[in-house]
Amino acid sequence: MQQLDKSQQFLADYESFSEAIFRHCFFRVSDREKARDLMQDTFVKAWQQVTAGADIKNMRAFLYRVANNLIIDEYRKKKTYSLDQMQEAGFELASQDHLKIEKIVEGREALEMLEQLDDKYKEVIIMRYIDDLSPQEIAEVVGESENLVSVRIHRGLVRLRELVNKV
Amino acid sequence: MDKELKDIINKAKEVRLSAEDKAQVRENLVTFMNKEVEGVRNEELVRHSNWHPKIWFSFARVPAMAVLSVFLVTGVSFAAEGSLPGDTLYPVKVNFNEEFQSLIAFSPESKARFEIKRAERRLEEVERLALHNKLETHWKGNLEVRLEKQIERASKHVAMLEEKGELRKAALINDRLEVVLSVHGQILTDIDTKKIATKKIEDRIRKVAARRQALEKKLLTAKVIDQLPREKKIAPEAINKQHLKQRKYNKAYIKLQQAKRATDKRILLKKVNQRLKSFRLKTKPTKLKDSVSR
Repeated sequence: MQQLDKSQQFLADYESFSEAIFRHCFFRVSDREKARDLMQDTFVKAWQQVTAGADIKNMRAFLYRVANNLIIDEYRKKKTYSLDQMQEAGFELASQDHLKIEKIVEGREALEMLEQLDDKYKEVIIMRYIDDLSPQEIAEVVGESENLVSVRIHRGLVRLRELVNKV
Repeated sequence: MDKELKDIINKAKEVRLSAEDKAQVRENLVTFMNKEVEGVRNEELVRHSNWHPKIWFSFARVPAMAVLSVFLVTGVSFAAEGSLPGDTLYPVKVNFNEEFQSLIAFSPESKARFEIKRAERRLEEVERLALHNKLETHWKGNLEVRLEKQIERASKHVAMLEEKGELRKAALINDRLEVVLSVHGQILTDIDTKKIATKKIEDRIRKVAARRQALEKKLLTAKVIDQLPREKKIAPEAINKQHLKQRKYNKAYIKLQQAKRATDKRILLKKVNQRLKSFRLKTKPTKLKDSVSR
């Protein structure tokens, strides 16, 4: 019985948070399919924690934390291919065309803008303004103090404003 | 906050998961959850029968039992990871652990990569068995079939991506498959002294290489390297120029991939040698013979 309740609750959580988690992943990895995979992995990992009897007080913040860790793993995976970066540097023509086509997709411009931010700023700005998490929740997700998170948000916003004014 | 910033954030919030995707992921999740729950429940039922019902049915024990059985299931599946064909836990490794993981792969790309990973595991099993002189008993009808199945599935995904016009992705996956096969092929020429598996794998390497050459031919003339070309208004005299430029870039891309394959081969060989180290008794680690060749 308990198990049944748990799984129903979990599926309800999926309904409420899957969009937001997907969006978060999308802005971090800028690839729809990868973001979808990451979102799925996030819920799979979270469910494993639920069945293992973990005491989760704030499901939303917990999901973000799992997603955040998965995204970091994803970054690490990428780093092993330094030649990938070379090839990206050598392929401006193709990749720019590619961007133009994708610009039609909603949110592409915003993504381009956010992409220019440093990772540590990008991460908190996305959580604060796109996902509407409170600084306290963000602090819980990234494992830093609330104070530091607030400072980072502020600095990130300043950078972002500079970027917007440049365009 | 300024208006422009707000605009950007509002636009960002419009990014949505498509309804089909959301439903698909939900379905995957439900399948996954049911499997986990079933596993836990079965464990409990078996244990119930050995105990007096009165002692057993204190509710305080149910969560503890659930946790314990999760540990049991994960413990067994963890122990199965290092098993070889012929071991008791081998079926757990290939039928439970791997099938379980394959549920998680979503896009054709990640599915293909997962199949390649499985093929890699099979090849390593072949190598370990060859080092123990046990390959002959397990190759025919078992390992051979499994390996073929995994390679077949990976190539099917490559074909699907190619059909969709995602040439670059298709080529990348095909490259990975080629790297894996050729590295393991080389190791096997060293240790598979009776030539039980080597010929089959050499055949496969030839096929994958032919596939790569075909893909490269297509890539060379592709207008935009990983998307189907879209209509654009360009002055006719500029078209030729742009095509030439694109061709040059494509050529450079193909060259770079070639270099990347060579590096990947070296990296993978080092890793596999490392892993096989403790199983080798007399043979020396394999060295890369044709690191520059394609």
